[in-house]
Amino acid sequence: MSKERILAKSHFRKNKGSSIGIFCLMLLASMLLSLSMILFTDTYPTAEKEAERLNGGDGILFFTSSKIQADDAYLTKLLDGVKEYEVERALYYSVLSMPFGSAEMTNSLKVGRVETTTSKKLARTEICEEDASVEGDFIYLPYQFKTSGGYHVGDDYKLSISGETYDLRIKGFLNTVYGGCNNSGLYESCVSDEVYDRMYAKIGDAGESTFVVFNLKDDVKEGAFRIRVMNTLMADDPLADVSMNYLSAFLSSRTFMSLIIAGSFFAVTMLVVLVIILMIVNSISNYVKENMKTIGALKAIGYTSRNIKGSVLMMFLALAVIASVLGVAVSYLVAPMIASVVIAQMGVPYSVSFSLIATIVAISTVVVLTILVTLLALRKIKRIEPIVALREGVESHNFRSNHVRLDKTPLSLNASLSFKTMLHNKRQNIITFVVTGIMVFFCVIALLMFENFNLHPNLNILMSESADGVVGFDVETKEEGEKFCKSYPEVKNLRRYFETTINVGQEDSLALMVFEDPTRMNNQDICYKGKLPSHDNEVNISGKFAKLNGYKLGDEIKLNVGGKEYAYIICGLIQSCNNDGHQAIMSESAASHILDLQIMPSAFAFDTEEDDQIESFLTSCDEKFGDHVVVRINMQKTIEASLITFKGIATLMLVMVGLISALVILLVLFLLIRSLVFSKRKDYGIYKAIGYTSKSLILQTAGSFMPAIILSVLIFSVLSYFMANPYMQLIMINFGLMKCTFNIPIPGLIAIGTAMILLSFLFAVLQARRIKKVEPYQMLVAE
Amino acid sequence: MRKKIFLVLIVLTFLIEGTVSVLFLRKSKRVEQDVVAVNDCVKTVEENFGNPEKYLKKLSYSVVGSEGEVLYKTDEKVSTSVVEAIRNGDIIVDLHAEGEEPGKVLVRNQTAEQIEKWQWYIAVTIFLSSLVQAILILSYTMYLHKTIIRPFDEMSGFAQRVAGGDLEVPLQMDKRNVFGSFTEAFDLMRTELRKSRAAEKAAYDAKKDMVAQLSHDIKTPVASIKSASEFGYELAQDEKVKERFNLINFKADELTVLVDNLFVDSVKDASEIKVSPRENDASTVKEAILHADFQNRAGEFEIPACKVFTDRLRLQQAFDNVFINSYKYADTKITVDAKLEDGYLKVAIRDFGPGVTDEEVAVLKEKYRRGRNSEGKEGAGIGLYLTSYFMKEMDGEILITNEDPGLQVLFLIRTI
Amino acid sequence: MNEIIKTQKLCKTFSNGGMQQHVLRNIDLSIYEGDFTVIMGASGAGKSTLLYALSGMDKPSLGDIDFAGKNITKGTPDELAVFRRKNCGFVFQQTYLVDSMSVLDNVLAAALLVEKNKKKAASKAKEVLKSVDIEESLWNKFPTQISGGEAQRVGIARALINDPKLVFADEPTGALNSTTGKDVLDVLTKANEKGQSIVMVTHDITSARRGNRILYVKDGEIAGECQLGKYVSGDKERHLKLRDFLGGMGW
Repeated sequence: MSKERILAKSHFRKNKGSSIGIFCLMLLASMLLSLSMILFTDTYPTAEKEAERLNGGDGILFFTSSKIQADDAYLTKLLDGVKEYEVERALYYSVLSMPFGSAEMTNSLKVGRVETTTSKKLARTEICEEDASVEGDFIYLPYQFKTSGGYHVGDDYKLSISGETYDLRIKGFLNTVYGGCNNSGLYESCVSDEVYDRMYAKIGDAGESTFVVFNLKDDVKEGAFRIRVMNTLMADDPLADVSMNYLSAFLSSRTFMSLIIAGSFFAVTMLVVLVIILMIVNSISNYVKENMKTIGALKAIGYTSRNIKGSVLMMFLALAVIASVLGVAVSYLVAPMIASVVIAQMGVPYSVSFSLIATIVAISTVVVLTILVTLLALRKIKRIEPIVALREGVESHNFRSNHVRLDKTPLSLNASLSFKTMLHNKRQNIITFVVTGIMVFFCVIALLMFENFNLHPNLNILMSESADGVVGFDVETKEEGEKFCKSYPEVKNLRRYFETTINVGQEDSLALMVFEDPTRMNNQDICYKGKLPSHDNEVNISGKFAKLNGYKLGDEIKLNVGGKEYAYIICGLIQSCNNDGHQAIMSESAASHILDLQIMPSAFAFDTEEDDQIESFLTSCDEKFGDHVVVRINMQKTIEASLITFKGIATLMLVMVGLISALVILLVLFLLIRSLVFSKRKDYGIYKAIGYTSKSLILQTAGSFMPAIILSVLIFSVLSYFMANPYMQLIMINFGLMKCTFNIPIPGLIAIGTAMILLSFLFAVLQARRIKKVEPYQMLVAE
Repeated sequence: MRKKIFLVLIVLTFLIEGTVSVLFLRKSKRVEQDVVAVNDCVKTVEENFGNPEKYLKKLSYSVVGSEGEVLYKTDEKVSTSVVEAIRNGDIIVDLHAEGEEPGKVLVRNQTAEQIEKWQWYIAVTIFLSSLVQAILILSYTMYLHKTIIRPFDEMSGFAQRVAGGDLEVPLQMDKRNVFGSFTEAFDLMRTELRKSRAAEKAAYDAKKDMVAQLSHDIKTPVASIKSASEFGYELAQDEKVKERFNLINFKADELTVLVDNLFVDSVKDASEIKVSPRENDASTVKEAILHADFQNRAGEFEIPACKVFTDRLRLQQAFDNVFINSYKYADTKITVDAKLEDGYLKVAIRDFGPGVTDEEVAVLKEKYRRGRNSEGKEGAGIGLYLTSYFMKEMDGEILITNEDPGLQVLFLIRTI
Repeated sequence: MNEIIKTQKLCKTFSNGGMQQHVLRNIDLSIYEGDFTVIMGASGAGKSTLLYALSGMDKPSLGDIDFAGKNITKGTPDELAVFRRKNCGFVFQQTYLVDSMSVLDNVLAAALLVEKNKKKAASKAKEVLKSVDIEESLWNKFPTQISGGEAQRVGIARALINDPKLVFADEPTGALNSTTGKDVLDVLTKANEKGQSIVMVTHDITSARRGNRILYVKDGEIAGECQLGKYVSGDKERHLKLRDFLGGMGW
């Protein structure tokens, strides 16, 4: 082994520059791998782990009813089939706009007393941060208000409910299972007793709502249980506001964004790993080329190919091990930053903990890939005959030919010499071509993330329908309201809809969105297979549900509600991250088979020309209809609010991706061009000796591989434009997202390509400038 | 390596064919109707009953009223009555509009067309993959031809030449070294043969020189003997003695003739190489040139059709000599022009090398003459001499002229 | 005298663009133990080709080579490499020391191929370096930091380190001036006196004088052979004999 070690040391000494470059790339790769593994194995499951720690139960049921006496006897009867349950009474506002950072968040809000809120046994709510000194009118808010809303303990918080404004101070933040995240549709909070009493006084006849967290018996089916409970409650009080959801649904909506982020991160990581593999291959083949004679001499004195391969492998292995361990270490330094944005969205307290899997996967991936790739690239050594190597590559039988004859070519001298260099470096050019191409692709993915997560957030992937605003009226005023909306000049593209729940047999239920005409939805992408429903017997169901229950396009599905049943044809599959993938869409005409449309409220999704018209329209609705307006959402503001977290994530991601791409591009170009200049050193010495100027040599070097780069940039720009979405989709499909159409701005694409070309040229010139310093003689004697 | 690629590709095309066939067979067993599309059409008709402009056209169907009258049809192929629809296996759907049943929609059964479509699809796929297969096999054959058969041809051409005594043309190394050290050994054999032949010839020549010298040396004393005997004859009185002198004289004459013959024999030489021309097709000339031009410098050329009077082996050797000279001394591209003129097939072979001086042109055809630039190159200076000799034996001639640049050798081959 | 190498009809052909050139033709040759065999000939006559073919580094086109009882025309490259460790030492014209290794490491890199014990190998390497007059101060320098003559002597040390059956030297003085060249030749001569068999290719008569058996290669064949006695510095007669022989060969 010692002989290999001597050689390995000497390889390193000889190839210090590229070794360090490769080392950096390996470090980056292991860092990125470790980071995305941490995100997947440690950060992402935090919400689930926390839910378990807080004894989250199987699900939550909450209802508001003035008719139902929800005493123990009633609940025990209602909740037949649960192992255990716990009741809490608190105030509940089903649709409430509350300040969130600089914007406004529309969500349901549960307000409880501090005492009752924090003393639960099932789905415990913990205070994760507080300032005991805050007195007077205070409120505890979900942790997400800190992580993404930017609030701190002691901040003022102004809440207005039904015209009443409460000036509160934030005393602390809550870590809660069911009410911690905007995506799960419910915020849990608690206030001082005094404030609570004031709110209670205002709430009217419905009174306190009942919140029940329960654990099902093992043999009870979730779907059936839900249908039975809901039906009982609706039967007891048709006007009751009832919600029931299982923990799994809460978790999936709470963590969905994190998954997308982790996924995007993973997508980028894979590309970097790919580049690194190629660079290792490239540098090894360069190594072999540059050290042909040394290898020949070593073979002559009795080194076998195995010995030499072993020594090169040893060097790269040492590099890989050190780099990957370091990379993992660095990843733990960077992880809190990345994790914080992921966590911000979930609203769960989290600190990065050591993940053995992440560490092992990151290190072993880099090391194993290095070994494989090195061995693969080193196969060449076996074919080197010592005598041929010593004769500088002249084989016993050689068929070389001169492709570009200087006396015949119509090209200029510089151009034809470039061309010669290019032909002699076929392999190098292919590598340059591919690597540059991947870099372009890499940048396009970064651009895509920047454009869609940051500049012009693309929220179709998060919502069922996108609109500038939504206004909803109660049953009494819905016709009048519609007229008003239609008459309002600035409001366009009015889409009437309502939401309800329907059952599939007695086992399962779906959240149903009924649109006046689903084909007019803004978010056409929601349907990823088939078509949106338009006829009275058509329905779209979510792909996840279809897959789970074996439904295909064209199948019949029987849906029922309140005793009425109708068979619909599944004409399309939709994607949805809400309601745990239990969603359906149909038209009003279809809904009328099982629902009495008359008693359904109406909401209107609308668009406006200008953003500020949203608020003015909503205000005029308020003025005209007052309490009859049951839903008013300024989507622009809501989006802003939910994007506060998102933008933070995206910006950080971008800084990371930008930094990494810049680093990778620089390293790759450095390595590529360095090896090119290096391998041609001798030729340059000769050229220089016979009177070529450094300038023409520099241009010639740069020129010799610019064709590969330019061609690659051109081809891969176009390719990336078409492949970026499928690539993202390929990654995202594993996270349950079926169809995503991200926008790729063409100017950005052009900028990337141009920058790439210019940067390479610049780099080439800089690298080639080293020729200038070298004496021709030195270059000639250099082996 | 390349063999593997070919094999993999060919197997792949077979697999594609197989998969497509199996898929088709499975698909054609059960043709599913597009429920969503049928529903879409029917519902659109219901919703817009009596308003045919709004009917969907994505399927082909007809709408018949409750009395059986045709209310609408998308095209002429659809069934126009329920009976016809049943016969065709069409899909019959009742229309419901405002509580009534105003008629039926007959959606044409497109199973047959669907199958036909798939048949087309399979036919096209199989055709295309067979095409690819054919191309692959063809190129593989070409590849085999190039790597094995052509080197083999060259090898057998070489063998023929060596068998015919032509040791000047070297055996080319083929790129893939199909024959391995065989190629090397064969060419080595040629050079060894040539060397030993040269040595043999040198020994023979030396012997002849000696004989010539000897005969020359003998002639002088014989002449002395003759004159002495003539003188003796004149002086002798005795008839008997005279007769003796006469005999000596006579024998001296005989000896002179014999020595002369010996001398002439030894001076005259090589030309005992036999040339036996007969009628041949002009295509043999082209063949010979192609054979001689083993580096393929000449490119395309045409030989006019005619009958020539040649010895194929000797003509081959003649061309061999010219081409090998050109490779050796000029190493440029070569042009070949041929035309029929004055009862000859005139083939001009020209290179673009340095050529020779005008004085040299005149003597090139002579034996053991070589140009200035021949220094350091193997050869005996016999090639063009032999070429000229061969051509003369075939009633032809070669003419060597200096061009600018290069040298031209014009073959005059007698036509019949 | 024992034969180390015996060749039978050794041939080597090169080709360029398809044109064959037979560099070695049917050579039957023996190399004997203890000899300092010198191969001479005009440039391009095939001297170096013969040398590398004899050592098994270059595969001959035809013929067999028997090297210490092993037919080295057969066997995989790696087998031959392992064979060379113990049996062949190489001294090249351009030394081919590994630039990025110190002098000592260069020698050690060869020593460790045979001697697994690192300490033993190191002490042996030092011993051999001393025997070729490389001072200790140079041991940790890199090949680019020492003179050409020194580098060549390090090369010889590397060749001698494993006590090979035969040392092959390909114009060892070709790139050196006469003084440093003499040092190198002295080192080789000394090794030969100690019993090391050497085959050296040269086109330089001063170098050739060191040998006791001179082979002359012409047109790929051994054109002639001359036996001289052991080298004694300043032996006039020996020198004249060699000159006459070379003159007869058309030198």
